[in-house]
Amino acid sequence: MSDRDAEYLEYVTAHRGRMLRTARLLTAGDTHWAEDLVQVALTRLYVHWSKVRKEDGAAPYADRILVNAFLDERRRMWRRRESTTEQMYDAAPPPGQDAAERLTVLDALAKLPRRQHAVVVLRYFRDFDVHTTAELMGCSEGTVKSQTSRALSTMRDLLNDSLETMETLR
Amino acid sequence: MTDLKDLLEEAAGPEPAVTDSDLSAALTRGRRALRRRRLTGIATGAVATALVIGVGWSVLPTGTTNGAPEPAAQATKTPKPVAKTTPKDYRPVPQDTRKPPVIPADPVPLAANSTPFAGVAFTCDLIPQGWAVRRFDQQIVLYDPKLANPSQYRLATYTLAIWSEDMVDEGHGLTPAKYGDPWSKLPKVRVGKQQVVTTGVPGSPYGRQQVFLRQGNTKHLVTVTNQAWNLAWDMNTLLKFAGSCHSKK
Repeated sequence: MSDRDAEYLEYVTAHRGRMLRTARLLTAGDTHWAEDLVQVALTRLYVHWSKVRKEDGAAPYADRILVNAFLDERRRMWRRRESTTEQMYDAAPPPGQDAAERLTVLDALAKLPRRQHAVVVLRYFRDFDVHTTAELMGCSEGTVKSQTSRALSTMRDLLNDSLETMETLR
Repeated sequence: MTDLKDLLEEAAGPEPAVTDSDLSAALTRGRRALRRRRLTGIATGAVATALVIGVGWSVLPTGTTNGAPEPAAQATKTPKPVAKTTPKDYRPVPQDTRKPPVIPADPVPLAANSTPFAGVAFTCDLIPQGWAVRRFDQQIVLYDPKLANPSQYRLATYTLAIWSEDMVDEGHGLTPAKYGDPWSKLPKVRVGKQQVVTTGVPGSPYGRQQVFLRQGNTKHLVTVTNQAWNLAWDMNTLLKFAGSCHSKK
C-alpha cells in the first residue's frame, strides 16, 4: 500500500463517521442518499488527495464536496445510489432516542429550501462560523447570514408547532 | 427552550463505526476514479492536440506550408488553454422547490400485466394497478396517468423506472456499475428464482428504493427504481413487483 493510500485511509477512518452524520442531516434522514454523498466526497477526495493535503487540507475539501453534491439538485433525478452497509434494511431509528422528535427535526429540515437547509447543518451542527460556511457554500457572508435568519425563523415555527403537538399527544 | 444543536445532534444519529469493508470500498472507488480520470485526461489531451494541429495546419496560408515545422510548433503550445478550461466543478444549480406528490393512505395494489414491455429486452408480469407504461430510450417508466398536472411536482418523485444493465468485471468479479464491491460480496436476498440486491429505506417518504435483479448467473441485471411517492409502497411490495420483472426469453 502506498503512502497516499495509507494517509487516505487514515483520514477516512477518522472522518467518515462525522461526514456521514452531516450527510444524514443534509438528506433529512435518507441514509442511502447520505451514503452516496459521502462516497462521492471520499472518491473525489482520493482523486485530488495529493493536492488537497498540501493546500486547503482534506477536511474543508471533503466538506465542500459534500455540501455541493447535496446542493446539486439537478443530479437528483439521475443519481445512482449504492449502499455499503451489510444489512439490507436500516430504517429503524438509532436506539436510545426519541424517534418522533428525531423525525420531526428531519422533517423540518426537509421542508427548508436547500441552501437554508445546508446553512443550518453547517452552522448549528458543524459549528462553522459565517466565513467558513460562506466559503464552503461558495457564496457571500451576507447570503449566509440572511439564509440563516430565514432558516431559523422557519425551523422555529416548524419545530415549536410539531413539538407542541407531540406533547399534547403524550 | 430546546437547543437546536442538541436536536441536530440527536437527529444525526450515532456516529457509525468504520468497518474494513467501508475502507476497502472507499479505496477501490477512489483508485477506480483516479484511473478513469487519468485515462480521460490522456485521451482529452491527445484529442485536443490532434484538433489543434489539424486546425492550425488547415488555417495556414498555403504559401507557408512549405515550412512544416512552424504549425507543428504552434500546435504544441496551444493545448494549455484546454487544460485551463477543465471544469472547476461543483457549481450549485437552482433548486427544485416543488413538492412531491402526497403519499396515499393505501398503497397502490399490484395487478397482472398481460402486455410485455415493447422495445426493450425485459418485461414485468405485474404492474401497479391503473398505471401506464411509457418507454424512454431503453428504459421503461411507469406512471399514474390520473396524476393531475405532474409538472407541479418535484422531478423524479412520481415514477417507477425499469431498465437493464450489464455488470462489468475489472478484475475483481462482476460488479454492478453502482457498486465498488463485486456482486458476490454484496448482501443479497432471493426473490422467486432471482438474486436481488436492494437499496433504499423501506417505508421512508424521503428516499427512493432500488432493486437489482441478476438474471441467472449472467452479467445481466434488471434494475427497478421506485421513486414514486404516490405508490406508497414498502420494500416488500417493491420486491414482489420487482420479482415479476425479468429478461424476455
